Amino acid sequence: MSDSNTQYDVVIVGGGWAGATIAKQLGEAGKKVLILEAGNPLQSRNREEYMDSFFHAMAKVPSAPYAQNYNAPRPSVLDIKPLDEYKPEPNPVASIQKNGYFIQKGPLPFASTNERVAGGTSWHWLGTCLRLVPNDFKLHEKYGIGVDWPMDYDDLSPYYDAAEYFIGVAGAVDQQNGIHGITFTEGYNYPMQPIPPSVLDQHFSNALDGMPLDENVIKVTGTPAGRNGASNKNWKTGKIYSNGRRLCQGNTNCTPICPIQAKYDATITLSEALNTGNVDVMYQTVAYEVLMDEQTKEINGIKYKQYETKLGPVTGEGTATGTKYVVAAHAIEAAKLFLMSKSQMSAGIANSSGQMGKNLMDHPVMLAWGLMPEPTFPFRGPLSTSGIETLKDGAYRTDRAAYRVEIGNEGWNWPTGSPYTEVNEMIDNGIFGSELIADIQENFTKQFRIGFLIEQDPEEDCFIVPSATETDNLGIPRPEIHYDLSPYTRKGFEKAREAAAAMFTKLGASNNTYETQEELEKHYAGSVFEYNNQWYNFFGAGHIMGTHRMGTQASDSVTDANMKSWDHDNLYIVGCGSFPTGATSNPTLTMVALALKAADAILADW
Amino acid sequence: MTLDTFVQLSAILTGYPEKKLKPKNDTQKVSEAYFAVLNKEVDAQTIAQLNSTFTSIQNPDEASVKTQIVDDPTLGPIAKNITKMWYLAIWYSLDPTSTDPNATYVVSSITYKNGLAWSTMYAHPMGYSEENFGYWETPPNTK
Repeated sequence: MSDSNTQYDVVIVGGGWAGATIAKQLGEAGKKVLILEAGNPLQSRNREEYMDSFFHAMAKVPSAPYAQNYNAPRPSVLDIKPLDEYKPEPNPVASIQKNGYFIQKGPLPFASTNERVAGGTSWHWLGTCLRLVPNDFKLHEKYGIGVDWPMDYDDLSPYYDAAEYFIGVAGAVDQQNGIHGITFTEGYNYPMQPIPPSVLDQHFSNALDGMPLDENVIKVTGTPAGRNGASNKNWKTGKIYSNGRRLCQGNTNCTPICPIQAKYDATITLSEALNTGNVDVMYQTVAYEVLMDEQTKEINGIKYKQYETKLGPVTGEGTATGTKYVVAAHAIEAAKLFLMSKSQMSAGIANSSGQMGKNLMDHPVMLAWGLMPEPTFPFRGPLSTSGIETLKDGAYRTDRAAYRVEIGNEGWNWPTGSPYTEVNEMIDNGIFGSELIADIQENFTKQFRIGFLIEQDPEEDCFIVPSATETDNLGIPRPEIHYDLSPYTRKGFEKAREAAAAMFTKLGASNNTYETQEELEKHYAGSVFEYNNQWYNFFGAGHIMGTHRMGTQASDSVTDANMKSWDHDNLYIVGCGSFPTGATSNPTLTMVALALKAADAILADW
Repeated sequence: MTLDTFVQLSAILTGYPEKKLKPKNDTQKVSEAYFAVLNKEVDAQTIAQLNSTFTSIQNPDEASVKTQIVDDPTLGPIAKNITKMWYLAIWYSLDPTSTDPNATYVVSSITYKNGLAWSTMYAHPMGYSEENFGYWETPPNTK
């Protein structure tokens, strides 16, 4: 199906989170929608096949279940290494195999990844559904940092309500209400009751609740999550909520893949969009240029290339046309697409502000880990069930980045590769038999880790551009990424380390975190940095934000608050790239709320 | 080496009884899988040496297996690899300098789900829980 006879009202680039959400909303409203999806079809592999790839993978990283596709490649955390180890390689397949998909220009590598497949990165998300706090929308007004959002918490609050039902979130209003000014609509409740806290969560809560830290006080709360828990009654209709999927079974595998789809993912919404009968998808169809009418500046087509196999040649080319256009291609790919669209606008389409591709942000993660004084039994339950959200805002934000704390249920798996690394070491040291059993029981049952998701302020010198020299197997430029952590963000790491030490002392836990340059370089070469005479490592959170930010004026932002391009009246650009600042909450819920807002705006603008 | 001998040796190396490693009604056939990997990855002569050393021990226990097998420069690395398979379901390349990406591998999906490291710490393999919603709220039965 290419350039078929169907006249589409809307062409959407990307069948992931935001694209599927908008497609469903528009399809239900009777609009004819065409989605261009770069990756493989929904039906191409079933969950059991993905699980089998996961079981067989030596490195069980976020991309482990999802095979590399050289015609729509995706990054992998396994490709992060010191910059001087990236070696040019003329053959694109060999280059991606050797160097990874991203062309990393540093000074630090960008450490987050996404998937390019129908359903997008929702395949490997954790499930966290936290709202932003009110001051996150006005970081500049309150603290003189970054920029403000073109909306405030109250503007987005009804869309948060809608997004929580759209995803199916298990959470407790009374736990979230009031945290740094968060409010809920009168009478509102989450569709499902909160996911029960893990044994570790309860220890954290008992030991740390009420502990003052800087200007705030610690309170451990259950993390609202897009995972199935016990149903509530819908606050509007009174009907018992049900999405027809199973209860969470605690497989401890939300990332990279929930084996039983107890966790929401966007394949569900994409299927629902298709079931409206108004939505078509062209899979394995990679958009590479956005075209506009020279007179009206309206977008009038999106050029694409098609392929049949992950290593095969281009098998088709064409131009998709509609009345309106939505680019929902993920923060990096979306910005790349516009910056590649240079034949009519030298700076790229939708880029009169010069901000396209800039302000690339993540939540760089600092992990801290240790052993609890008594067993708290990791590797049980969802990957994370609680966190500390009461440290996310305060006057300190004039000076340093905020953070939230995620409590992990997977022992040292993330920082050290536990249990593999330690069991190997024990056996290599000659431990076996009953001694091995005793050692594993003694050490592993006490393992825990926390993660600090650290705020990153928007900066022009963190940006992505299409590489001038390196391409994928279709000949489409790969993303060249320039990335660093500002002093503001680095100071957040410094305070996070101090906070971890104070919390671990209160918990009576050992602190086994790597903190010397030597240890950090040995384990995490490439993503190590210095600040104030201390050494740190950062991980990616997978929260790729900021590259096509919303704003109040065309001069310094890419879209307005409805995610409509300032430059092209019939173009919307959605996804986490819309975020003017990154704050500290995992971004998915906000991204879905914004996608619902954009869908309303598109329909209102007809 | 016979499968039974392999299981007897494995019982001492893992600390778990033979009947756990190779149950009567064995639907998982993990011991067969690991025994096949051993025979594929290790030369027949070394396996024969492992067999004769182990079968020559009267009433083998951890102490005798340690001195005669685990601490032996030739047999030790094999014994350690057998132990790693049982605990982690991975065959690790015996050549630490190997750059072959396939020299170290997960034996199978079934063996992954039966890795002993997880049950030893009262947990389940990541991605494979047979428990019910909310089980994580209370400590496991450690008896």
